[in-house]
Amino acid sequence: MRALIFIGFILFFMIAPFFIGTSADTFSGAGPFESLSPAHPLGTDYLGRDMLFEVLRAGSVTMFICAAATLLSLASGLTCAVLTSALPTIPGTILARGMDALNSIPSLIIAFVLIAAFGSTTSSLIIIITVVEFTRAYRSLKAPVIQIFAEPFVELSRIRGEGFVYLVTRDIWPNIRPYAAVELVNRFVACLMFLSALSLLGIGIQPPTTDWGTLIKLNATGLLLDSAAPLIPGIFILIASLLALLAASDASRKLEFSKS
Amino acid sequence: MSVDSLTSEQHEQRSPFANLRSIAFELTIRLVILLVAAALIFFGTALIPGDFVTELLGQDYTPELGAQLRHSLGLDRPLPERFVTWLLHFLQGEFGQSFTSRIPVWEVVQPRLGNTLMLAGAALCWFPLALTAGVASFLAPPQSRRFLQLFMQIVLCAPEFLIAYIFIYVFAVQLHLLPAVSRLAPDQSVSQHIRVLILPSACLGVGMIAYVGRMLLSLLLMEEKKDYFEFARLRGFSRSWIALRYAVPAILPSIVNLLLIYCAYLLTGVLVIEVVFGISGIGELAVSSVVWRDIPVLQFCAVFITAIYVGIYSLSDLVAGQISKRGAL
Amino acid sequence: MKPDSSERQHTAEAANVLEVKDLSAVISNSAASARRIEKLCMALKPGTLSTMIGPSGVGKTSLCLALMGWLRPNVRIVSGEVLFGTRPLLQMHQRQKQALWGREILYIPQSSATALAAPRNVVGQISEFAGDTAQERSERRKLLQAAFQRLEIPGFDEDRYPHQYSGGQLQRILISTVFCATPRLIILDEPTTALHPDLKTSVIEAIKARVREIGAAALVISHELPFFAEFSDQTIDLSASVPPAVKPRSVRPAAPLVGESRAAFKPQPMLTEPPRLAVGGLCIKAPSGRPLVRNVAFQVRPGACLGIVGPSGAGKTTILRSLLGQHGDAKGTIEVDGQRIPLHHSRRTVEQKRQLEYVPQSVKLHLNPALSVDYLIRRRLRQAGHDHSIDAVVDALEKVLLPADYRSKRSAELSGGECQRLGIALALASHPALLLLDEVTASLDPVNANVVADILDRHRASGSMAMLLVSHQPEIVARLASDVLELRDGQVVHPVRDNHAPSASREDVAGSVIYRESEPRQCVL
Repeated sequence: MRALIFIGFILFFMIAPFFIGTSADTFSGAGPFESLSPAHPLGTDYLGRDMLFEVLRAGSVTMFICAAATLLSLASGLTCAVLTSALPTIPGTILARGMDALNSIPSLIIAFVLIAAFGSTTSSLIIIITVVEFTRAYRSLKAPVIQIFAEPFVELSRIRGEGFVYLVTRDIWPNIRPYAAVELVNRFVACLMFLSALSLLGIGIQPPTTDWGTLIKLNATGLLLDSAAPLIPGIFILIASLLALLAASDASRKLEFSKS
Repeated sequence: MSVDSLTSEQHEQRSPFANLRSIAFELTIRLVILLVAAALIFFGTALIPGDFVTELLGQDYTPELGAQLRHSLGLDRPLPERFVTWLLHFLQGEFGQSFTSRIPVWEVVQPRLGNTLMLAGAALCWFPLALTAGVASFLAPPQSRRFLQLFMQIVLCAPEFLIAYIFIYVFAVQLHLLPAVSRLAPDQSVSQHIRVLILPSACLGVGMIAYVGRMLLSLLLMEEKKDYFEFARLRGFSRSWIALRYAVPAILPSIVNLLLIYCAYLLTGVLVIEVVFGISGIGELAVSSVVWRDIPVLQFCAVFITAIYVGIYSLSDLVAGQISKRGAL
Repeated sequence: MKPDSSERQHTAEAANVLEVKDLSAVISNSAASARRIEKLCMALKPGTLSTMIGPSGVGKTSLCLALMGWLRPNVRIVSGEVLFGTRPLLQMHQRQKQALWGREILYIPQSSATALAAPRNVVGQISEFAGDTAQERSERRKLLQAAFQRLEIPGFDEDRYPHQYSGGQLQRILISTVFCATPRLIILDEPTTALHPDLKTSVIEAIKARVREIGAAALVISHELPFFAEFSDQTIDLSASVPPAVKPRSVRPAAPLVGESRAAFKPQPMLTEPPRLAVGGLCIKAPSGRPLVRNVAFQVRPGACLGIVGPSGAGKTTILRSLLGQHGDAKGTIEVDGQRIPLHHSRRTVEQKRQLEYVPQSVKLHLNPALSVDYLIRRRLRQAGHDHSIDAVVDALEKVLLPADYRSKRSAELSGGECQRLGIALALASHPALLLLDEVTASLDPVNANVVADILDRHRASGSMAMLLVSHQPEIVARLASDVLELRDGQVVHPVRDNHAPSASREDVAGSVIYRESEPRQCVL
């Protein structure tokens, strides 16, 4: 149920721009940093645009990038986790050590280097966030994967001469699924935070395209003019991560249940 | 580590050399990992479009002059060879020259490093409060504990920049208590420094209070389930007495580990907070080096921060190793 | 003995230290199962020692703690009253109860490394009581020193930590608490389980003397009834208060089985047939270099069942594991149907691997919890090249007396006995040449064990399959095995006699096995 609310939240922001139009210059004639009013339920931004529309438009970009990066990073992290356990010792160790090395670079630093190299287009940001987050997904899925590989039933499958495909699709995947569900939500939150931080630092999404982080950065001057405008996108980020947390607590309760 | 646990370690350690050897082995692995990470950073920056030479020469660029400079800088040699040269220079403390300001990297970095360290140090001052929060939420009656847990959870969900803007909005804009922009200059007095640092360090500290407090609470709740806790309760001791006298010493290594993990987090948290508050530190430098593609500065910042990060994690793994050893006893 | 009897007379007149009136409680062990205790009544008099016994898993410890007023989260008191002296203990405030604990009511937990806090020294912890003054503290230390001497615990002055003591020492250390306090009620949880047999009597006598000395009532929770019956003044049997919904522990079927096995005629394999399995010169070393199995050789013919017996640690399971190719450091030869197969499973072909089927002690752990019974059976039937329709699956289930609607279940929904039967069904579904059975009935109750043995007996008799049975339990070995291989320290004690027809000698072997194995069996069930 909670997971459905969370997914609904993401989908809502993904499709919202189709209803309000994507053009960024719907100038309403209002002054900059107006406070909340019936005409502008969330006030106006630094150019006098309606904040609600801006948040919805930016939300679509945010959600799209985060969802893509989350799915990609979870898939590649899970693949690496399975490979390090399933591969023979030497290539497995090399892979594991390589992941350790990647893991030991702070995520912002990886992003700095890669953004300097590839620029901050939407697609390169998806790739960069994936590179950063898949090592984290790998790290948290490695332990359960190792644990499942050590289960007697996997050992028995190996003794019985079952192939690699059976091992992965029948023995590992159904049993790792609950862990992957929890990790999916955690990765989403991490991606959201990370993307917003990059945009806030000015090296993420570049205007005129905006995401929530960019919106905060663009409206930051409003704070000194006594406007809460920069806080509004931040509050949406907070709501998204709280919803994700609720969904994750649901998923991890299911995990506890399946364990007992 | 308390005096008590140190003595208990000494009793158990039969061959200190075996322990030392394993530590040395771990350190070697860390160094190799750091080397690989440096290589990743180097090859990553080598992917940056455009090259040193066009950046360096700027307006004066002609193909002949470019080729000459490229040769003199060794840029026409293969990438792995350049990596080795770069690494050797780096180890000797020659970090190159900034493209934008045309002065040695170290001179660009040095004044900012002090600011960053000051901010990080100020953020660590909140650690005792985080410990108090953890123990207090353990001792609190169930209802207030649930409330505290919820609060910590919400804070953990909020990105640090949102906390920063909320703090600025409340404390600087609305209440006019503290400055919204933190300028750190060498000519300021200590009290001015403190006043300027309160808000940015609090943004990092709130996150720490939530994280450390929550972890500490769950650690203490786990201790409460153990037999010794029940036995002590049944000898008439109160929960708070047992928590402070038995449980906290028992989880002390975990607390040290939490502190280290938090330090690692601070490394990147500081970068964001610096930009928000306009503190000229390493983070701000790194961001601008990305924007301006100032490769030597970027390389230095990346390798420097990674080295500290790996160092902190090595230390925390060492502590974790000690914990598991004690657990096995 | 005279002061003893006079004191007892005295105590008979004295008021009860603890009185439990019609106490009903629910104690849940896990999310699924809860045990009820109904109308428990008991009275403890000063200077006496009472023993509480009861079925295992009923929650004796939780119950005793509830009698002290300490309710673990899994305990719920339904009705009844507990009087400490004249005060109702259950209705007291937390603060009042806390004042009683330690000073008036002392609980001595079961010995475990976690009963004492690891980072503080032992003497300090034991002699520490809530609200002590400095003088009381030094007095307790003196008393404790005497107690340490009396109970022969070393290292009083050495500032030792819990991990520096053994389990038996820790138990005595916990008991020594009794000697530095003057409570009116002492509850001791399994005070002798970790003790060396020679020490038990002296420790109990010491406790008893102390109880008389301070006029306290002691309640001992124990499994070892015969031992405590001698010392205790009364015995409280919880099984009287546990409603019969709980399955009674049935007595294990005893000796007659041996006779039965003699009567039951086992069809002997044809001697002219080549052996299904031939093992020669098998030597296995542990990673540490210690030999686990030394030069073991045996043969099993189609339709025969070889029982491998011996004390634990003799290398029984090691042999099975090496047959499955799980021991890298093995030497010797393994031949199936005259074909030599590699020792390690990674070098075996899929066909070679599928000639062997393995049924472990706990099938439940060896079943993928995400897959249905139907899928598991079907896959094995398909792999063996047999009909894998629904009917075939139902048929396979019927062979092991499982109903057809179990097809859709998963391993988590089956009981232990059903899982064992399913494990056999799975093994049979792949039609192996050799069936390896590792303690298949060890974790089952006698009724289920019998069912499993019946199923195996039927299939052994009908098929051309060879079986290898590793077991602790003499009944099942006597029932199924046509030959017995006894191991001790990795070496064969009684080699298989496969050159002559079974005679009285085989029965002797089985008999000796039963004699040796009957003792450890008690702890298995």
